[in-house]
Amino acid sequence: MLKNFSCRFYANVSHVLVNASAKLINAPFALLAGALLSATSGWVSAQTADELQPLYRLYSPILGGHVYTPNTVGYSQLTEIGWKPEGPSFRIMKAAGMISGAEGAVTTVAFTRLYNATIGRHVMTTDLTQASAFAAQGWTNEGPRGYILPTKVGGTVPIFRLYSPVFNSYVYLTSEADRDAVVAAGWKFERLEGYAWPVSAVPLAKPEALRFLTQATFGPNDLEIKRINTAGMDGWIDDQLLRTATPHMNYLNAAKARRIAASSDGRGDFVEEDSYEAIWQQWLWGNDQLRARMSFAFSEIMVISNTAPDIYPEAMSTYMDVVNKNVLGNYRDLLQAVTLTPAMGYYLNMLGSEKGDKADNKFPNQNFAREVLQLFSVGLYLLNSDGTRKVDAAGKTIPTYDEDTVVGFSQAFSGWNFGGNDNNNPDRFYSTEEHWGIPMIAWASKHSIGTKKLLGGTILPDGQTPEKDLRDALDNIFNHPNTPPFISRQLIQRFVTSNPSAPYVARVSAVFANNGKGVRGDLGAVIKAILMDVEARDATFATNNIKAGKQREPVIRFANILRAFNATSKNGRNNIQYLDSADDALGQSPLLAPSVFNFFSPFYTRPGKLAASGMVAPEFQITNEIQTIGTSNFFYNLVKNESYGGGDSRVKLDLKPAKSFASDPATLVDYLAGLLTFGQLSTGTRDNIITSVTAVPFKNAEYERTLRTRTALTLLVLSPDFVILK
Amino acid sequence: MCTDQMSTRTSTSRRIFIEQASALAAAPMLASLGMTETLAQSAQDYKALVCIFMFGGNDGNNLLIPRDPSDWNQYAGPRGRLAIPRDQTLSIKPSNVQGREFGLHPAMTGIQTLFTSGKAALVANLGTLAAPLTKAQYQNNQAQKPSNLFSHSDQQFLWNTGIADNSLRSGWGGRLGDRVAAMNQSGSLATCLSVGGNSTFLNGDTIRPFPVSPSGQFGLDFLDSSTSGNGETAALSQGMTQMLAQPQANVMDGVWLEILGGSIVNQRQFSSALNGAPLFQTAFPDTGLASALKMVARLISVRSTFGAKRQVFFAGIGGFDTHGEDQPQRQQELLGEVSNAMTAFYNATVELGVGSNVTAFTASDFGRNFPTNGRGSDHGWGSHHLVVGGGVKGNALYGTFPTLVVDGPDDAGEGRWIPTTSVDQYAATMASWFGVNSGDVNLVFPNLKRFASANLGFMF
Repeated sequence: MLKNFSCRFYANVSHVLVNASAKLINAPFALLAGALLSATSGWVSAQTADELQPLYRLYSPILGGHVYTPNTVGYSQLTEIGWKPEGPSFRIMKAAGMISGAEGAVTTVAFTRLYNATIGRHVMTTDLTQASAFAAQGWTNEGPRGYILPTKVGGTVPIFRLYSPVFNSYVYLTSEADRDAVVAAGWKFERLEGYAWPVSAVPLAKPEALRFLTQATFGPNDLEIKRINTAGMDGWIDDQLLRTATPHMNYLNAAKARRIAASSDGRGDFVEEDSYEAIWQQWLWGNDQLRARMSFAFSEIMVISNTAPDIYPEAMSTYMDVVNKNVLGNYRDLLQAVTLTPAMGYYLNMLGSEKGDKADNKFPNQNFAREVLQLFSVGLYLLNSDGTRKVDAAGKTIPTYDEDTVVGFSQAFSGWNFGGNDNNNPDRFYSTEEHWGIPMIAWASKHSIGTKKLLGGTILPDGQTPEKDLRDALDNIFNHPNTPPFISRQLIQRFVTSNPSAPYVARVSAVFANNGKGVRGDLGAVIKAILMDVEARDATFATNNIKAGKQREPVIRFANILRAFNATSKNGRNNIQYLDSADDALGQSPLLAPSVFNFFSPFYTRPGKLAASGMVAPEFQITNEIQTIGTSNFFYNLVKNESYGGGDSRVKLDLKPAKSFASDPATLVDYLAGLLTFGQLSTGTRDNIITSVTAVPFKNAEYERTLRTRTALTLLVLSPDFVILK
Repeated sequence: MCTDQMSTRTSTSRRIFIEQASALAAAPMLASLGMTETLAQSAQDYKALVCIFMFGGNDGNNLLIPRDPSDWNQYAGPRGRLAIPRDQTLSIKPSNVQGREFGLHPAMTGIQTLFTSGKAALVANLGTLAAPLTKAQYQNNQAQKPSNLFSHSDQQFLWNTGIADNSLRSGWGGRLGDRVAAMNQSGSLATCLSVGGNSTFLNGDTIRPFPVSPSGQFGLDFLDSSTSGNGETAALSQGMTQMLAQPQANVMDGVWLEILGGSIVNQRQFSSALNGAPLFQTAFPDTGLASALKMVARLISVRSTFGAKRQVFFAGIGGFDTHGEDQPQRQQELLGEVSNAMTAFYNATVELGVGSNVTAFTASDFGRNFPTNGRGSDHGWGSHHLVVGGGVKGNALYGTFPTLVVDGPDDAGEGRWIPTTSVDQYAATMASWFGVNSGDVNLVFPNLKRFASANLGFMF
């Protein structure tokens, strides 16, 4: 299948970067912007690219000085405390070594950073004598931040150090033109530090980078493209792991405050729509895109749903906050935190589940015990570490647990109810005050006595506290050999492909079992392993394998479109709420799965071609002949209205740039493909859309631009090129 | 495959059949299956089953309430705040229970009328069973139990599959469809229709259900429309046609287009058929279930377009998982919706002249436990269900009403009734009426032989 690639789009991306960078640079320094950007040109050979790392510059408006760092984590952290990121300035060697070029072999020199705590200033130099001199004046030598070359080798640029007496700050520039421009503005040229590599002029906004962002976010947009250009994929993930979510409860509290302010009697409450909107706030505009995707993925594994029974809005959003907080941390912590949310407690009846009473024929509720095993952790059948099912001597699958184990877990989980109540008072168990925003607590008096049967023959001893039993039971689940492959396979399905190879599952499972530092359950390491795996990254793997890919989930398709066209609303909010209708929506809506079994099963296959190919395709469980009509109409109307919702929360797409290309159908289609299918379309799809767009008469009227754009975009978002992520 | 019931029920003009058959490419296939004779005799032969699934587990203890004063007292005590005052229940006197009086939930006035007029029946303490099960057997694990009792998803699944000890993926509605699809001119297209989304119930071993939107929202807004004179619709229609014709190497690419294309073609067929649907005199309430059943009635009204002689429908209504304090209010709304929708639906079938040819029945995950949990009620097991239609021997209560005593003879624990009638028996009774012969009934319901009766006798 021949892929087309749009150059125009990437030119456009660079343009956006220019603008964005200009905004970030402080006013006195603004004259530098043009010079700095003109300095970035040329590609580094693939041979050395791995050995290089960008050196990023930050500016502190408070301190008035600059700092350079190769550390993406530090770069990100500084931005959280007020530093302005100014992007990579040039690239340096990660380690000392020898570089061979046409000019001969050159040994690297250390590029050392010093810090003056008194004045809050940094300087870097390759000159050991100068470093000593700075140190003698009270500067702290922080050691090398990387290595550059003392003499020029092909592809390198000079590193000039400049000093501003006005700002008392040091910067490093990579061309004589830049240097001279800055000197003319009052800076002093101090020293040629050496030679290093420029930042690529065409940054990482290649199809692969966009494809990566399509897998890892709710859709590439200008901001994330800029970030990945800065940090690369690894660095982007590292940075995302540190980004936190804005609490959804903030959105609910603000909504409630607005209602109170608007009411005549000073009353107002949460409404469930707040909880859905809070999710879309994070998806559309959150800077924590990877966290948001992981949260959505886990909300489809450890499911709560407001379809029935009703779950209070603060319970749902507290659950989302708990998932967000833990979802890039450790799976064990996530499991416990979710277990103790009142939302989950209520949804699967652990809340208020009390010990058995033989005389009264009572027993602890088994709902949560059953689902935590079947769906959240180990699954029904014993697995190999590559996710395939183990079989016994007779070739039959082996159940992971029996009914007595479910009973054992239900006993281990008994005695919990709303937090914030007196759990020393047994009667209070039956008349709790409902606190939906804090974890459940245990009543020892309502906890099952006796031993409890867990997985793998483990028996919990009699007489433990409910808290200890719960921790032990969750440890038992966490340490079961099924958990790494069971969870890893599902996460791969949510991000990359419905049918990962067994070795792919095994590689990710191995990271789940041990992140390389002896830690089991490190979800940050797991998602990195998933996204950086060759099966995810090698695009030819997908194009050469007819079973590759996954359907983009309908709600993710919606988010992809909104983000691609930089959708915004007047008041910064949204009113995206119920998308679960089959008739005119998506058949899928966060927090509204039909049951704890989610919108679809990770094992779903559709009779016909999929089943015959031995493939599963979870998302196809909600893709049928009426849903497809509803979804298609939904997207057509989104494109037609150029917005979703109403009032000041109406989320509007920016189709202006697209419409500007309407006179040239091929350009229009390539532009849209750049936004939605990482610049790639099958020849058939591309030709077809161009032909269709050309068929819309065009005499350069504005409404014709609209019709052509609508035609192209509608066909594109219904094309398999967009729907199936490969 | 064709049964006595089918071939004896109808007499019709051969001329009508010949007219229809002339448009029928399927005739040779039917001949090879020995079906033509039946078809010829049954040009007006029509039967439909309509499953109404109450998702979440309806509390049957408040759908059917004993109304004799001492019985009511026995009922009211453990029910606590859930107990419905005796005089608020809607009196029914089933003809077959020796003068015992029962009351329906107060919201079910429509059902009361249908019941009294003989068009509705009740089946008591019905549920999933792998085999007959006594309390002693249950307690001592001496007999096989349905897998994953009290679990929503599993019990829904078992209700839909009709096989309580097997993980067979097909539903009994679909397996009935497998056996009758050949009777329908359009084959499988209009045999199993869901107005309640994807459900196991209609998945056959070979047949795939076709979902139909209850709203009648058909087709793509941007195709086949003559309203747009600006060239956009033409361009989009052309583009869609081209796109659907593109061969795809990637399997999922192909399946996506297959569904997209199939939906357009099929929806055009339904849309065009429904354009000819008559308007009903019968008023349907403006509720989700009523809208769904109205669509079923409309589809039945145009059955001849599809040459459909046997159809199985699926509709659903959610919200029955009433653990909490809102159970009384919630059930009032939900059972009212069920009653009003089923009543309107029955009236519409009468209006269409197929009142005796269409049977609607309820299903649900499970019943709920008898004593209140202090707020609502928790997951139970056996429950009471409704069968409505002119083919029903109504005004009667089938099965055995449980002894409403916690720890009593029917209690599996905490007032969860061990069913005394199985889903298999309930379903097989309707399957026999539907025209599936006794041999096939045992294939559709492989556990049926374990139960004393294969036919509960509530259908004519």
